[in-house]
Amino acid sequence: MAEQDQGQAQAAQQQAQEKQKAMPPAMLDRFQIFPGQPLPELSTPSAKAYHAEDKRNTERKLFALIAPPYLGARTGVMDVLKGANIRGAMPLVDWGVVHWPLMNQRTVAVIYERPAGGRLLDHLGKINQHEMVRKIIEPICHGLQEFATRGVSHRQIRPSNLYFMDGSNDRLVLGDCTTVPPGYDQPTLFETVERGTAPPSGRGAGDVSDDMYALGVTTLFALVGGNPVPHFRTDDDILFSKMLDGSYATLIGQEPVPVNMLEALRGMLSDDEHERWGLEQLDLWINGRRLTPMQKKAAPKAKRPIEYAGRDHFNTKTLSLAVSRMPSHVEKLVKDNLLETWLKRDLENSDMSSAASNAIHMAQTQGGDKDIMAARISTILDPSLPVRYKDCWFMPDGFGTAFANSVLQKGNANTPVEVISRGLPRAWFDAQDTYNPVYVALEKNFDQLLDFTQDRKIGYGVERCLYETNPTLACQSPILVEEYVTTIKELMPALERVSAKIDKTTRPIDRHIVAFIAARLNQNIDPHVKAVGDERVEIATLGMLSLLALVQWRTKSGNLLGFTSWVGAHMGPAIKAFHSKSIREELEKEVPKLIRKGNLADLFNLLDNAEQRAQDQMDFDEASKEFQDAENEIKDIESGSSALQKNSTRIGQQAAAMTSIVISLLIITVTFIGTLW
Amino acid sequence: MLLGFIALFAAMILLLVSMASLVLVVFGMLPTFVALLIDRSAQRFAFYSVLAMNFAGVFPFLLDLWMGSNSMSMAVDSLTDVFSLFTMYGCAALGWIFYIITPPIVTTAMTFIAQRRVAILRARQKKLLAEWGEEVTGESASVPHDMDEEPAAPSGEPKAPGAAKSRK
Repeated sequence: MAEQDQGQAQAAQQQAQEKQKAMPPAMLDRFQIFPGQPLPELSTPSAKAYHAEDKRNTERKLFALIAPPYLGARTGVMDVLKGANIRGAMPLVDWGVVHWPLMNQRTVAVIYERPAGGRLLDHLGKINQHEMVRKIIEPICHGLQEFATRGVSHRQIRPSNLYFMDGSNDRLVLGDCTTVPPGYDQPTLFETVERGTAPPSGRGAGDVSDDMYALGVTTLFALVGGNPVPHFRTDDDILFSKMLDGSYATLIGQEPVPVNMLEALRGMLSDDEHERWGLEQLDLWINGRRLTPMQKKAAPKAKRPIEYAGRDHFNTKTLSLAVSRMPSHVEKLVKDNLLETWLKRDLENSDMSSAASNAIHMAQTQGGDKDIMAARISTILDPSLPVRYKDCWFMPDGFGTAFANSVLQKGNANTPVEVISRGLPRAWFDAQDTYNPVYVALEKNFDQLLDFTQDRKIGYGVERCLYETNPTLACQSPILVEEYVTTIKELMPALERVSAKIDKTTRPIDRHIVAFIAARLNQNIDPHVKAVGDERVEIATLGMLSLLALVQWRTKSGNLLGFTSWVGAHMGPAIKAFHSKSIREELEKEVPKLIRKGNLADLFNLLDNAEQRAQDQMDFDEASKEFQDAENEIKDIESGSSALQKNSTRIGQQAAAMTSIVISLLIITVTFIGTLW
Repeated sequence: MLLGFIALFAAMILLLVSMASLVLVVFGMLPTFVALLIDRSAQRFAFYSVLAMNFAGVFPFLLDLWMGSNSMSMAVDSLTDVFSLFTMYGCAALGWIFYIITPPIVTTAMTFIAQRRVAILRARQKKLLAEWGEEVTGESASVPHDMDEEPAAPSGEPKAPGAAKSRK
C-alpha cells in the first residue's frame, strides 16, 4: 500500500516537472527566463534560480533569480548594481517585474551572469592558506569598497553566496543581495550579536560594518574548511556564547588558525562596532600594514549571579536576552526590587539600577503586563540588542520588514502596532548611550507611524505603516497582489490590466491601494485621502475619483479605457448627490461619453463642478422652502375647515344684513321718488 | 340698549308728529320686534335683516299716509288691508329668508375657493417632487458641501472634492 502511494507521489511529481518544463519562458525585455530549467546550485534560501537567455546573444551564460513576492526586494540596490560591472560582485545584467507562471503572479526577476566556478561553500578547505588573502579577502574587500562608494551594503556575505566567476576559481565575487531584505537569508552565525538576536525579518539595513563581520566569519569558514562551531545546536547557544566570551573567542575557539590571519580576524570579528575593522583598515592590512585591533572588553561580571528561568546570569547581556525569550518569569525580577538590588550591589551599576527602576515604573503605568515589563527591562539591561516585544523583535532600521513579516506572513498586525503605541522604540532610543544621527531620523519616523496607527480611517492605519516602512513592498491589495505593483508609476497600468478581468461591482480601491498611493505619491494628498474616508458616500465616491485622477495625471498614465469604465460604474452616489433630476439625467448621459475617453480627470471635473453643485443646492433649498410653505398652507386650509365654516356663517349673516339694508334703501328710494314724481 | 333708546326716540318723534304713523309703524313692524327678541347675538344680523326689509315693506304705506290725510282711519285701513299686511310682513319674511340662506351660500363658495387653492398647491408640490425627489419634502437631510480646501497644486491637477477649481 505504502509502495503504491509512493509510486503515485513520484508519478505526480514527475508530471508536475514535465508540466513545468513545458511552460513557456517568461519575458523580461530581451531576456527569456525558463521556469522549466531550475538551477538549485545557484538558488538562495529565498530566491530560486532559473536558466535565462539573452535573445540577442544566446551564447551568453545567464541565470535569473526570482524574488519572493511577499518580501520587499531591494529594487533600489538593483538599480545601482545594474550594469555597474563591479569587480568582486556578480554582474547584475538586468531586472524587472515578470509574470512568473510557477507562482501565477508577477514578481521581480533579476538576471545575473552565470558563475562558472560554483560557490565558495563547495571549495571550503580546498583553498591554500597562503592564497586566502588573494583569492577571498582581497576580491571581496574590493567588491565591498565598490558597494560602499555607491552607498550600498551587501548584507548577504556567507560561503554559500560567494561564487567563483571563472572555472579556475581565481575570481571570487559577491552573490546576490537584492532579492530579499538585508540580512534576511543570513544564518545567525554570520550576523553580529545585535543583529543576530533579531529574527531574519527584523535585522535591519545595517552597514559595511556588518558586512565586515560576515566577511570575518566567512574567512574563518574557509580557513577551517567548514563551520568552526558545529557543536552549537541552536541560535541561542551561539548568541549566549558570543555574549559571554565574545565573537572572536567563540568562533576561533581551539581551531588552528594561521598566525598571519589572526590579526585580520580579530579586527573583523570585533563585537564593538566602533573597534571593528572597516574597509580602510582591511585594505591597509592587505597591503602589508600591521594593525593591532582592540577587542571589546567583556561585559562587566557580577559578584554573584542572578537566577532567571533556571539559569544563572553573571552579566546583563545574557539576562536581557533571557528576559526577552521568557517574559513569563519577569515578575520574579520585579518582586522585592530583586533586579534593582542585584544591579546596584552585585554589578555595582547604580545608573542602570535607577534606569531599571524607571523602566519598571513606566511598564506598570502601561498596564504592567509581563510583555511590556520584559520589553522595557530587557532594553535597559542591554540597549544594543533589538527592540523586543512578544514575538516582534527588530533593530530600529529593520522595523519595516519585521512589520511586513508579521502582517503578511503571520497575519498579526497587533503586536507591531502595540510596539509603536506603547512607545518601545522611543524607550530603545532613550536607552542608547551614544549619539547617532541615524537614530534621530528613525525616531522621527516612529513618531509619524504612531500618528498613522492612531487613525484607523482608510489611507492610514496598519496599511499606511506597512507601505511607509517598506518602500519596495508591492501593493498587497487583493485586487493587485498578483500584479506585483511596487511603484506608483506601475499602479495605473496594473489597474487597467485588472479591469479587463475583474467583476465591475468590485470597488476599484481598498485600504491597501489608498495607503499605497498615500505612501508612494511624493506629495501631500491628505485632502483626497480624507475625502475617500468621508462617511458621506457621495463625498467618498468623489474622493476616490479625485485620488485616482490625481495618480493618473501625476504618473502620466495616458488614457485608461477599461479602468475608467470600471470607476465610472461606481459613480452612482456622486451623481445622486445632485438634487435636481434634470441635472442627474444630464450627467448620466455625459458620463458614458467621458468614460469612452479614458480620462478620470474629465470625469471628475464633470461630477465635481463646484458652481453647478452650489447652484443645485441653492435651487434645492428654494424648492424645499416652497414645498414646505405649500404644505403649511394646505395644512392650514385642511385643519381650519371648522373655523372656515364658522367664519363663513358669520360672513353670510353679515352679507344677509347688508343685502337687506341695501334692498331696503333701494325700495325706499324708488318708492319715494315714484310718489314725488 | 342703544337700539331701545333709538326706537323710543323715534317713537316719541312720531307720537308728536303723527299718531297714525306711530300706529302704522308699531303694527307694521311687529316682525322686527319679534326678530329683536329672538336674535340674542352680539351683532344682531337677523334683526338688521328683518328691520331693513320690514321697513321697506312699511315705508310705501307710511308715505301714502304722509301724502294723504295722515289720519288714524287711514292708518287703520292700511293695517286691516290683507295686501298691505302681506306686503309689510312678506318683506319682513324676505329679510328672514336672506338671513337664513346667505350663510350656506357663502360657506359653499368659500369651501370651493379653499379646495381650489389646495389643488393648485398639491400640483405645485407634485412638480417639485418630480424635479427634486423625496428630499425636497425635508424628511431627509440635505448634504452640506463644506469640504476643506486642499493645498495649492499645479494647474491642471485634479483637486480634492469640494476644493476650488481655480485659484487665479
